[in-house]
Parts: sequence; C-alpha cells; structure tokens
Amino acid sequence: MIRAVGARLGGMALTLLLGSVIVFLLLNALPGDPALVMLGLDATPDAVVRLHHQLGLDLPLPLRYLRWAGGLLTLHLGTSLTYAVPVSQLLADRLRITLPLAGITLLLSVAIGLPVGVAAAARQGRVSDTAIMVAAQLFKAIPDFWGGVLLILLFALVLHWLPSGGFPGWEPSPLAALRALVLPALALALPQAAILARFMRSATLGALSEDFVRTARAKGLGTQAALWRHAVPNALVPVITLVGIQFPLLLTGTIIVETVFDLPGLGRLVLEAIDQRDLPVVQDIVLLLVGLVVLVNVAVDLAALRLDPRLGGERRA
Amino acid sequence: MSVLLEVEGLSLRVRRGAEYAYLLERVGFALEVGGTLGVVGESGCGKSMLALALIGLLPRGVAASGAVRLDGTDLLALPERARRATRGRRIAMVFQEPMRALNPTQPIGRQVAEGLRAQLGLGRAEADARARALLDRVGLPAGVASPHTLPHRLSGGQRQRVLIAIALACEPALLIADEFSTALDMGTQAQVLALLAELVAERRMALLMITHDLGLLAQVCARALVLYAGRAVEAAPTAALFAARRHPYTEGLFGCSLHAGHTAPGTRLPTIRGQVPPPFARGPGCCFAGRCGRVEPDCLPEQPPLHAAGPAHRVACLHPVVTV
Ligand SMILES: Nc1ncnc2c1ncn2[C@@H]1O[C@H](COP(=O)(O)OP(=O)(O)OP(=O)(O)O)[C@@H](O)[C@H]1O
Ligand SMILES: [Mg+2]
Repeated sequence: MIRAVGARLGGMALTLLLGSVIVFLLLNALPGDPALVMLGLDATPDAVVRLHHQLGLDLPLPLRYLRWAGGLLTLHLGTSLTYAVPVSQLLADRLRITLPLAGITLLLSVAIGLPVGVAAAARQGRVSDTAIMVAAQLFKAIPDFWGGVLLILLFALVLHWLPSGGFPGWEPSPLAALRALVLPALALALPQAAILARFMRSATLGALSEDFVRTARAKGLGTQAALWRHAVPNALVPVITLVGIQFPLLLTGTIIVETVFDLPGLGRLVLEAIDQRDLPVVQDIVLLLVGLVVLVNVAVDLAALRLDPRLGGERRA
Repeated sequence: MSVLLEVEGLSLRVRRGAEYAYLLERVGFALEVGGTLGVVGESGCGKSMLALALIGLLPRGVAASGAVRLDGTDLLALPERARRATRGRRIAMVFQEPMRALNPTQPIGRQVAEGLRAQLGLGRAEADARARALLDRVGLPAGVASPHTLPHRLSGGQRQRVLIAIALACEPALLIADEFSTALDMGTQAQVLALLAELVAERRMALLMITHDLGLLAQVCARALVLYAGRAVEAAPTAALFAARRHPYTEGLFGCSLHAGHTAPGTRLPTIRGQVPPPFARGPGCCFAGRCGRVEPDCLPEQPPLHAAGPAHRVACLHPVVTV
C-alpha cells in the first residue's frame, strides 16, 4: 500500500509538471495582449513597452515559464493584473466557496447515486427499477444550469425554503452560507448522481450474476447480505473509478452554476480573468484545477486499490 | 441405512410467453445417510438445475413442483426463511469454477468464517478460529495460506480447497458437487477430489456428484442417475451400470468400447450423434427417440415410464438394450 501511494504521488508530480507546461504554452500563445487590455486601445506604444517590462512579458518564454513555475513551488503566486492583489489571496477567497461547493456536490452525487443504483439493481425488472432508471435518464439529460434554474424556481421562489442565489459569506453565519450552497450543489449533483446510479446499477447486476454471490447464498446468506457484503463491494470498484473520471466535469460545472447562482467562486473568477486577459490568475487557476483533478483521481485510485487489492498488479502466476 | 434425501416427482417449469417447458420432469431418487450418487448426462440435460433446486437457489422464473424431502421435511413447501436455514447447514454445495466462485475482494478466512457466523451464530473470534482449523484440514496450513490471503494469491487447486472448507464449515448432511474441479488440470483435480471424498466419508456426509467423468463416477459414487433432456432415464448401482446399460442413451454415453473397470480417471463422455433437444422443443414421446437407433413407433406417443430392469436398476425405455 505504501509503495502504491508513493508511485501515485510520483505520477501526480509528473502530471502536474506536464500540466504546467501545457497550461503555460496554451495561455501564452493565446491572442490578446494583457497590456493593451489594461491600458485601453489608445495607449501609447511607450506605455505598452513599459508595462510589458513591468509584467515580465518582454522576457523569453522559457524564462517566463521558469519564473512562474518557480513561484508556484515557493508559493509565490504573483499578482493579479486587474485586481492588483496577490493571486494567492484571490484564490484563497474564491476557494472558500468553490471547494465546499465541489465537496458537497461530490458527496451528494455519491450519496444519492450509489444507493439508488443498488436499489434499482435489487429490483431488476420490476416497475420501481424502471421508474428509477427513467428518472435517472431524465436527470442525466438536464443540463446543469437548467436544473439549477428549475431548482431555484421550486425551492426558492415557490417554497421559499432556500435562497435563490448570492453568498452571505461564512463569517456571519456558517449555516446561512451552507444554505446558499445547497441549491447549486444539488443542481450540479443530480445529473452526476443520475450517471452514477445508472452505472452502479449495471455494475451491481454484473456482480450479482457472479458465481461468488451464489457461493455466498449457498452458505446460507440472505439476498440482502449477499448483495451488500459481496456484490456491492465488487461493483464499487469500477464505479469509484468513474467518480474520478467525472470529477473534471463537476469542476467545469461549478463555473456555470456559480454564474447561475451568483456565487463569487473560482469559476466566476476564471471567467472574469479570461475576459480581462489576467494571465497570472488564469494560469494559476487552471493549474489549480488540474491539481484538484489529479488529487481526486489519486484518492479514487487508492480507494479502488483498497476495495480490490488485485489492482495492485502483484498477481500470482 | 436410513434415507436422508428423497426427491419425488420433481419438475422445474419455465415460461416463455404463453408457452411452458420443463427443465426437469418428474425426476425422483433417494439418497441414504452417507450415500453417494452420481448424476450424469450431456450438457443441457438439467443437472445443474437439479442441484440448484435441491439447495433452493433456482434462477428467477424457474418454478419447482414435486417434493424434495430432507429427513422427511419437504423443502419445497418451506418458506424462504426456513429454507435458508438449511443452506450451508444441512445442504452445502461446491461449484465448478474455482476462479469465480470466491469473492476476489475478501480474504479467504472471512469467506470461510462467514457461513459459521450466519448459520451457527458464532462470534467473530470463534468463527475465525474454526475457519483457521478448516483451512488447515483442507491442506492450506499457515505456511501455505493465511486467513488474510486473498483468492487471487492462490492457485486453482488451492482455491478449490477453500471452497471445500466453506462447504464443510457447518458440517452439512448433504454435499452437492456440480462438476467440481473439472476446470483444473488432471493431477490437481485428482488430489482435490481425493480430499473431498476423504472428508465426506470422515464426516459421514451424503454426496451428490454431478460429473461428465465416468472414471470419477466409478471411483466415487455407489449409485448413478442418468438424466436426459430433464428426465431420469436410468438409475442403477454404478457397478451394475458399468456391467450392463439398459437405456440406449446411457449406452451411447458410455460408448460401446467401454467396460467396467477399464475406465481411467478423466475419461470424458464420448459424443452421441445429434443434440439434446432444448426445453421448448421437447415432444410428448420418448425424448431420446430422435437420436435413438432402436426407435419403434410405440416410442413416439408418450414418454416411457421407469420400470425395473434388474436389482435396484430402473430404466425408462420400451426397447431396452439387452446384453448377452
Ligand atoms: N434461468 C433459466 N431459465 C430458463 N431456462 C434455463 C435457465 N438456465 C438454464 N436453463 C436451461 O435449462 C436447461 C438445463 O440446464 P443445466 O444448466 O441444468 O444443464 P446441465 O446439465 O447442468 O449442463 P452442463 O453439463 O453444461 O452444466 C438448459 O436447456 C438451459 O438452457
Ligand atoms: Mg451444469
């Protein structure tokens, strides 16, 4: 297990290094001069040159990359061009919304999707199974923002249970802040849960047809015990991997949902920063997102390895 | 010898649309305490369905009728709760595929202990200790495998031994082996089967063995039941069957050249021309008529009943083979 963790952390570092090179090249090859955006179109060439120098944009590309990457390693993230505050502070502020949002979404989608999938599998072929799967198909088909709007309509404008948008901040009342995140998280989580439920159902059905489930029944286990102790742990292995694969989609989903629900999170920040050609901010956020995705996938890998030790690769001949 | 298992008029019915078909049709036999019965027949004759009907794990959509009496209690009439109490405890089963019959994500000790906890209500510590002892007994001592070992670390033969330990855990009165160990190589298969036979004899368990292997049938089973297309076509002491087969199907199965005592272990059933008719394509007459060399017009209207053809030897054929 320790070896497996080490290997994955090594892989993670390598992915981040490659990711940083790609992110840097992509963004710095993008058309649009930040200096022109900052100074306005009628800026004098002189002023543009001075700003280029000030921003380090006149240096050769490799040197600019090294300055950026070196800064990341020493946690000096540079300064936002438009907000004129350290990027680290900007990120910290925004992450306080986006991280809980992504976390709650992930939890909700797993907590809804997996039990629903298992329940449908256990009722295979019955009306309730079909109903669950039709509902899942529907939720899967609803785009995040649309689902979000529907949820706002229902819970905020009709039922008045939850706020329709905006974020009161964590300080005055953590509960109010949490309440502000429930609808956006649900809007994001439901389509994800639907995908997980469908996948969990077929994985559970596959596991239920395995011989070892019959062995368990022949020992005298009931259907429920055989389902939960034998079929589900085996079905979880591929489903957990899917959670990792889906995570980037979830992150991009936060960008849209933060806009719909008017949440000042990372997603909103990245949209604004791209609009403003605020390169330092965009670069750092994109790399941060890459880092999050890699981290979640390492966690998912390790969880799958715990569930199914055969994945460790040490097999008997 | 007192009777342990008595199967009477056991039929298994499936439905397709408005049609019905029988996977087993009025099959009957008895097995004494500590007795051994071999069930033979080509692929698709309903051998596995018979085993699953006995242990009560038929697939959905297969309905059983008739009686399966264990110690006088008709299992088919029991509610599922009571039926479950017999699984593992009174009737246990070992399966063919050692690679797939164990849960790949669970250590073997836990898989052995699980039945003990579920059926005997043992606590964790006691179940674990018994599982450890069972693994020792089936030839997986501490040096070879620990209770924490995962199935993928074991060879096919070792996994088969784990399956034996699981089946024997609660000391059942009847063990069903469905083509047990046939997925293994010859040498390993012989070892595992020797172990199984030894343990069954030691615990005075009855054994119902489904096999394609006539050598094994001769070695292990006192009696034999020949199934064809869901029907019992011949039943006899194994020795009598090897001496003289009465049903043309059994004769075909054994092959003309085969004689009692000359069968090496691992001899496979020779093939007979044609195929077993699938459940929905079985007519009213003798189910073997379409492939039989001895067929006469009177074979066609209805299924011949089983009748005596020697001491404890019964055959369902109007024109049985007569040996000189
Ligand atoms: N769930 C099911 N529903 C309906 N028919 C089934 C089902 N499962 C199996 N059958 C049919 O039952 C018949 C008997 O199958 P069974 O598995 O008992 O054969 P078998 O004698 O064990 O063959 P083999 O030697 O290949 O194991 C086959 O014709 C098969 O197609
Ligand atoms: Mg079979």
